[in-house]
Amino acid sequence: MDPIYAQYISDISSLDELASKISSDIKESVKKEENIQSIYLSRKGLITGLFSILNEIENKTGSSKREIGQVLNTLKKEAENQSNIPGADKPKNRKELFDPTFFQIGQEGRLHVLTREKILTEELFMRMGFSIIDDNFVDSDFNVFESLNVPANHPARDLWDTFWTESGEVVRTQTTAFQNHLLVEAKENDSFPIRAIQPGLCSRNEATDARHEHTFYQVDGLYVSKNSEKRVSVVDLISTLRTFFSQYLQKEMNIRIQPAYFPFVEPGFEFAISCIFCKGEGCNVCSRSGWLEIGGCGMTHPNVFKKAGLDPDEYSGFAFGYGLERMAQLKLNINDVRLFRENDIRFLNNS
Amino acid sequence: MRLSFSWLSDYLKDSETIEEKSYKLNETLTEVDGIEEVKPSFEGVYIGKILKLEKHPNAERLRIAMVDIKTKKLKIVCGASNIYEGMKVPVAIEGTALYDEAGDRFLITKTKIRGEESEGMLCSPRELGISKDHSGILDLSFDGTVSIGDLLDPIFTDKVLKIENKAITHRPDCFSHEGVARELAAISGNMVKPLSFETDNSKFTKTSAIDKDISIFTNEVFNSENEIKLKIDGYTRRYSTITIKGIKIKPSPAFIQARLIALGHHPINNVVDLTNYVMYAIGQPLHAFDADKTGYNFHIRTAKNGEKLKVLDSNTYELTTDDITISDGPTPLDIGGIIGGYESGINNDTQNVVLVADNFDPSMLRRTSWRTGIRTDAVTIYEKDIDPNLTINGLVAFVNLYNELYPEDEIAVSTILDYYPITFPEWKEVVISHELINKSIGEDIKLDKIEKILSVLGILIIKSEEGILTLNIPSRRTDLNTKEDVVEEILRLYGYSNLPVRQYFYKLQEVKAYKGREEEIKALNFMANTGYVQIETYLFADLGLEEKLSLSTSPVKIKNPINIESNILKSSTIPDLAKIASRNLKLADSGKFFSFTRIFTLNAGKSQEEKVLSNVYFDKKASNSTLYYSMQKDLVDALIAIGVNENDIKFTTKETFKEKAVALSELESAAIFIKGKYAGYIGLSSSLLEKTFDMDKSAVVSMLKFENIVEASKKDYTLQPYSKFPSISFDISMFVNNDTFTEDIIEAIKSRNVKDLVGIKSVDTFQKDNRAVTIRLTFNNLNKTLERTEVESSVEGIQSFLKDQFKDLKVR
Repeated sequence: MDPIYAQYISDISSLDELASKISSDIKESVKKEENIQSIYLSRKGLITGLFSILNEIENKTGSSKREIGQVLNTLKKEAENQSNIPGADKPKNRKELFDPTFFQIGQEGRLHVLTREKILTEELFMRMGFSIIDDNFVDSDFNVFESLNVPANHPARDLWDTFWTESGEVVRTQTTAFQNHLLVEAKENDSFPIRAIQPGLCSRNEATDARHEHTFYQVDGLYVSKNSEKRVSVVDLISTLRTFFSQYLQKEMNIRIQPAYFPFVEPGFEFAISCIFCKGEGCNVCSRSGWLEIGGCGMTHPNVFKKAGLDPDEYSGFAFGYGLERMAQLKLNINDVRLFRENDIRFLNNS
Repeated sequence: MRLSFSWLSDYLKDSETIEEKSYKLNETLTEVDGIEEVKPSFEGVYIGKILKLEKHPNAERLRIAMVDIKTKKLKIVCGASNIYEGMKVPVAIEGTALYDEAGDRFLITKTKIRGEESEGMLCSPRELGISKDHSGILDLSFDGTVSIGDLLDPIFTDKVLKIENKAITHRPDCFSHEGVARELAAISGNMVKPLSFETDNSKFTKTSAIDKDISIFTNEVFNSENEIKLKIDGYTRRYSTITIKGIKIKPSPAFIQARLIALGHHPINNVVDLTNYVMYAIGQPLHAFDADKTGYNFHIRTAKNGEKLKVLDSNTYELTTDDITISDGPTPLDIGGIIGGYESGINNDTQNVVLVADNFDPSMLRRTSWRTGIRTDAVTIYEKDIDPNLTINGLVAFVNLYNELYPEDEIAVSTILDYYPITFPEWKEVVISHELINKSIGEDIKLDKIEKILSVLGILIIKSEEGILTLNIPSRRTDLNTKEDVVEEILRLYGYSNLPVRQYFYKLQEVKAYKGREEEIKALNFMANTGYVQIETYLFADLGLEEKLSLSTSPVKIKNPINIESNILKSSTIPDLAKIASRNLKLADSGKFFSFTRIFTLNAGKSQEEKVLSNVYFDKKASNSTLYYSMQKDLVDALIAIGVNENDIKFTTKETFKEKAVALSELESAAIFIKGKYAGYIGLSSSLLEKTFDMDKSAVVSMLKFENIVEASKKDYTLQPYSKFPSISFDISMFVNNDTFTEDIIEAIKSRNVKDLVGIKSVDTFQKDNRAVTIRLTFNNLNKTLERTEVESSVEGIQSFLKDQFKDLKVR
């Protein structure tokens, strides 16, 4: 018999006495954050050891082995509960004093709201099979106007107040400027249909106020197909816009088109989406119309095909364009377009 | 453009309200800017006739008129000198309200003037708010459209539809009441009613041709001799002209005056008003010359440089060879298509008129209008490129209207002299199939519906066989030339809101993004996640400011800048960063910002643009070196995250860049090289920059040329061979002279080409009297475990080599 256990029971006269002694020792151990597992439950632990000297305990207390076994099993359970995760060690002492509940947030960085909306727009269009284009901000007269059916001195040039560089180049007034090179590339590589968008900065020589900015992001889209594969229709255009805006705004959207003149499309339309604030019933934001005017669209003009050396009888397509700032304003309830570029930290951190 | 609703209604068969019409125009033609109510500036003015005129007994300048307003006869004292017995005049009676120019209302009452009772007032055009004319009482004697006892109020009451010109630049035919009325009628499925003065004008006989370009036309009205001699140098598509003799200048009828006022004009006299009236009715500008001032020899030519002309707006303009002018002999008479000359204009004594309806090269008129700043309604119409076939209609409409209003004048109208070198066909043929129409629209529209739409638009269906339509389109529809144009017309009138929504299928195809997009998004996200806030900046910049900071070497200048601070496209992001640092240093203790934008340089006469990632960091509590190293670490981490190999990154003080020295502190900045190519910089703000932007603390700024980074980033991820044997690292700590930089030590070690040395990294530096630098050397061999002793001897070799290279170097 292990002398340690003999000593442990030396002054015990009843089973109750033994039980309360073990129980209070466990509590003491818990208090001291001792290793319950090794002191009581392991192969050399106290309770395991007492099980091996049942005869001696029987003699000391006068209780039957069966009764003693039951009591020891209860105490074993108690010890196991105190050791929580079976088999886990509890550190006897802290290595270092610290507060595990304390937490802090690192310095907050953030993407600009226009970047976030631009990336989202690109991702959604990519899912719909549209490629993403990013051309230069300064472009040629040919790309910005001439190839888009806006010849020199045409009154349609009044639609945009254009910035010119002294070297005779054009600050693009619309990202539609990518159409000609997309058409030429697709022709050279025979890679129709074309599906592409270009969200990019544009500038127009206009005074800035709460509703107007001379610099802004325009999202411009183009879809062109060979008629032998598919003739592109107005219904295709509306369906594309509807699919995109429904995903973008996470709501089922309707599209309304109204006639409008843009030289590079025929027919040309202005398009509006269902008001996102009032579900079409009419509110202040949509001037009680139920519609929010977003941008322009239409079917690719035959002259745009001709300028790219394509036969307008063999190809058809649609184009659309709208301002990213306006979408962001509607989505985030930003009432002054100038806020986007004032770079006030209070705006940057909250938009 | 303003459109009188009463005028439009003359053409329309239905009786829809202006609101209903406005809604329909909105849906099918263009957005209507608004509806404006036009009200007279009087309430209750009657038309009366002066029966008798007597002298006022007590005043020399006053007379007493007995006036008949049908319901009663009134005695009215009047001071105007132009009144006469039998004259038809506007009469304000007791209870009539007049509004003055300030909008104040006053009531007419019975009163005594110099002892004689006056029961009302005879009104001048100014008192009625019709024009500024206060020289006499408005003479309505020649207005056959009004009768004694009529109220004048309803004639001057109207509603105006306002349409944005820009939205219909492609529809020159809609710059007229007839054109818009035709649209309105077509929308409701009708055609317009022809007006009396516009009808039956086409029965002319060609009597002779002066030469191949000029012909003479006559009919029973246009039959007196045309004395005009034309000489035309070019730029003129059509010049149709007549003479009218025996004209009598007088006020035009009240309804014409009222309509011109509603459109925003002041009535002048019958001839000028009728030319304007015809222009707004059918969209052909007309011009009337006083024939006794001009003579009959007309030379249409470009002006001579410096030639001067006083025009109808009383200003004098200097002309250039880019302007078209009509002259009689050496003196110009008007600026062709833009505005008439002052001297040759119609005045109260005019009896004989040369009336012209012309059509010029629109781009030439447009340039002249831009240069001179003269924006007449005629230019607005001409520059939209109107139908040359309209000129004859213009002349006929004027003559018919004049005869209808003033048959008693018995004017003599000459034959039409018509210069028309290249004839525009009156009908254009387009062949289109029913199938194409429906495929383009994406909806099945029945053929009879299509035919109905075309016919109300005035398009003739010449043939309709097996779904193939042969159409004749009137020349006034300059916008309808191709099949696509016709499809739009049909769709427009079919109604966009009637289209279905349908999903369609895309061909399976590669989706591409522009080069560098992936790296761009990685970089943006990295910076945002590292604590930098993104700003959005303009691409325009201030040349003066850039020059002050030595940032502009070859700027892209804007020819027409919006203001002086935006006269170039920016060639550096430093001003953006300094501005935001300055602004936020006043608001916060610290801040980290970045921008992703473009910078521009002029290269061989062309703008060249580069995408750049720029960062700025300031912290009032941190030392300059802490700021610098902190951002430097962020940049290196970002580059590695994007895919640049850490061994390809180098910071050097040996290279100069334009931001160094003036905008940045020279000794506290470095150029960043990636794979041996300049890729940007990092550095502390210079005192000049801080002064310029009012920054009370230094900031560290950086710029990375994004294309170089994309170029240098890893494109493939093939596993590189690596050693299975352990590597051994040694740290060498040393003190160096302050002129020696980490890059120098690393370069020196590299140049030794030490065997098995695979890594040279700077791990620590601090500054006391000298600079302390710690370099970690890592040795490794692909094929064996290195012996410690052989590595140690290599390290010793390096140490003694460094001591040789750098005079004051001490190994710690």
